[in-house]
Amino acid sequence: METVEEKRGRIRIEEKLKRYEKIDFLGEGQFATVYKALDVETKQIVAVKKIKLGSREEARDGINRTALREIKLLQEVHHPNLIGLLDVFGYKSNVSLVFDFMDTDLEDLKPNNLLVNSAGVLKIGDFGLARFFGSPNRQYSHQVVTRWYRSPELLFGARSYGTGVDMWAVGCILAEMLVRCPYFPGDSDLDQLTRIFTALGTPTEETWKDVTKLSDYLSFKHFDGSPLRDLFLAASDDLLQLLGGLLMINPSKRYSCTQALKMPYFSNRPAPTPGPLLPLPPSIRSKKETEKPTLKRKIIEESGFGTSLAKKLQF
Amino acid sequence: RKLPLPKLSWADQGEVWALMCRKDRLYPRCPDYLSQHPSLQARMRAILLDWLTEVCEVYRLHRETYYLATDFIDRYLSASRDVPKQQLQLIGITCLFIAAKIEEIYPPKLSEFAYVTDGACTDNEILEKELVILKKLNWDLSPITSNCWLNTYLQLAQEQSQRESGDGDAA
Repeated sequence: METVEEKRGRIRIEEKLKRYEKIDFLGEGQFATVYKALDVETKQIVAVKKIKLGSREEARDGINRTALREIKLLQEVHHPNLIGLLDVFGYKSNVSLVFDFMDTDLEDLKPNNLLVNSAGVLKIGDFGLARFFGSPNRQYSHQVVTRWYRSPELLFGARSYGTGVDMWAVGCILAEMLVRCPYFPGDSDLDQLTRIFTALGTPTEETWKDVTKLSDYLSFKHFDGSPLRDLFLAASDDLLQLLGGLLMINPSKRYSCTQALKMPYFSNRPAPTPGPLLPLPPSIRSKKETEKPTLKRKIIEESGFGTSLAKKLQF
Repeated sequence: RKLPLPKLSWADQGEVWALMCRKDRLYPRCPDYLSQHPSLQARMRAILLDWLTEVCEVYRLHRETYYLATDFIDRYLSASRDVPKQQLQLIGITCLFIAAKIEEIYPPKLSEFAYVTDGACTDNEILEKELVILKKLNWDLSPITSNCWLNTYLQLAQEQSQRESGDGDAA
């Protein structure tokens, strides 16, 4: 039987479903199905991302955590280059997010998550794992970025890291734009580091202080690395300068966003093509979501647990 | 407010401070929200929070998770009226459930949250309350918690003591 609360929830969803008229199916990933829809109230075209219930197991834990974290971050950030969250509706585990509609294909900083709309405006999609960087002492999980875009400090197991991990990812994306395929496509963490060091040189205590103290540090064969000039034959000097600053193996020497934007590359000619004049892909490709499977929670020891803890509070 | 932060190696200190102050304004916690709830008393909040610390301890949850839950509880109660005391444990455990999903790498399962209420709250009640609370909080889930403020103070204190001992060495 339906409770009053359930009925209210169901009616709210029905109202929302009327507000967002489904136009087209856009894609399906591991965690969500995305539809193109018309917001009948604003006459705006939107993307409705319906979080999948997934397995029964998953639905049992309420709103999907990845979705919850994504919503949390999207509520915080408002920027022309970040995809806008317009509305959230749902009931129990059944949650839908309403976004600005983007014309190209919809976790972390990698080409799959960079979207371009028909006005040529680029937006970063998916914030599934993004985190607020307010507290430097916080220990983070180091399994955060898709491996190909993961920085050396993450691969070595660093747990306190900064925005440098994103700058490394930006460097990898830039390199990928130059060669038109992923630049460090490692098939394991070890292979990833090998590829990075072969191209750019193996770090030492001299070039990167305390690198050997990182928890997953491994001593690698010494590679000298090649000058970027030899790796990217067609790139201009100002671009190589930028790339070199982004692909700094030592995170403390890597450019910050502010430093990168001050590089001559961004003021030298040619000027960027105006957004609306940029070419668009011929068709909308489907979104491919990736995420590591949730690790099974470690079982808590029985000690101190049981009778004493479970408590019905009497106020 | 005047910038009290020294130069930080990991971010722009001005940005960090501005964000902390902005969050303080954007996340309204009404200091006398209990006046909106005739059936609640200050000691009930204390009982609830004490119990939540025990739950956090047993499930080995991070300190930040607990303070996030506390923020959610206080903001939820600030934004609502006439909450009966019978609802308090459900509100508390649901806030902790949400906070754990946001903050923990391995959050406990829903049934583990229901279990610690000793029959006071069912899985289904927690699931229903989850969405009610999230909407009441306007999906604003990133407060700067008191724990975060304390971390910042401790860091400043540590940097200062390091500086002082550094000066000593030089002298």
